[in-house]
Amino acid sequence: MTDDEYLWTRTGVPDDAVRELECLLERYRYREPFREAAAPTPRSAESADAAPDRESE
Amino acid sequence: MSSLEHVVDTGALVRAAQGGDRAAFGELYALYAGMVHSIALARLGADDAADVVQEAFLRALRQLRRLRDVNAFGGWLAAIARNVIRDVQRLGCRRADADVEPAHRDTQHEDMQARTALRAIRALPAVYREPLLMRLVEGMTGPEIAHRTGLTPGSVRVNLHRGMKLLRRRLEAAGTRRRP
Repeated sequence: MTDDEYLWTRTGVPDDAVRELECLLERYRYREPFREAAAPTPRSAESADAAPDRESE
Repeated sequence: MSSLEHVVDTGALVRAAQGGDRAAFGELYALYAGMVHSIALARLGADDAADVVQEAFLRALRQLRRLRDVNAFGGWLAAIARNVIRDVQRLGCRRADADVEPAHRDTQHEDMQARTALRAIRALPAVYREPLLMRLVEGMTGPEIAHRTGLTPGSVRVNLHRGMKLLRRRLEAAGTRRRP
């Protein structure tokens, strides 16, 4: 179960297949900052949000 | 950002952000952007997935004060992300080949292998796709995935294990990875 432990915690002996996929797919990792300029502050946003989206809870 | 997982009180961050604390919302973004990105990347190309993250957080910011259970933030945000994805798919304005150009180009051969692996993950059953992308693309551990998604550690562990097993088998069958 060594490979499962590495898959689960990223510790211990790395599983070759998992490590290979990590190295390949790391290039797709999300690194963008939040585009704050487009975002209102939470309080002003709430009062301005007259048309609620589908998700509320 | 992952190392903060077990010392950050997400509920406290959500409450602070609901009160207008922009830094708290920034911390929530740092903690949860990878989760949202994985949900989007499971269904869309890389450029569209990045746009979904921004739009999901904008919607979350607008609706944050309506969230009553602050400890349910992860699941609530994931639901918003899935709505954004549905909107993108419905509008039909997807950039279909966006993932052909990964963020960091190495060799052409590695790019091709990366695309093949990403497509193989997208072809897996839905229950495996998101946790595998969170693990293999975003570098989250299993406990972090469980904490952020609100799923039980047991179910995340089973889905990671079974998903990886299936992915390994398919990549070997496709000849893109040698058998151990």
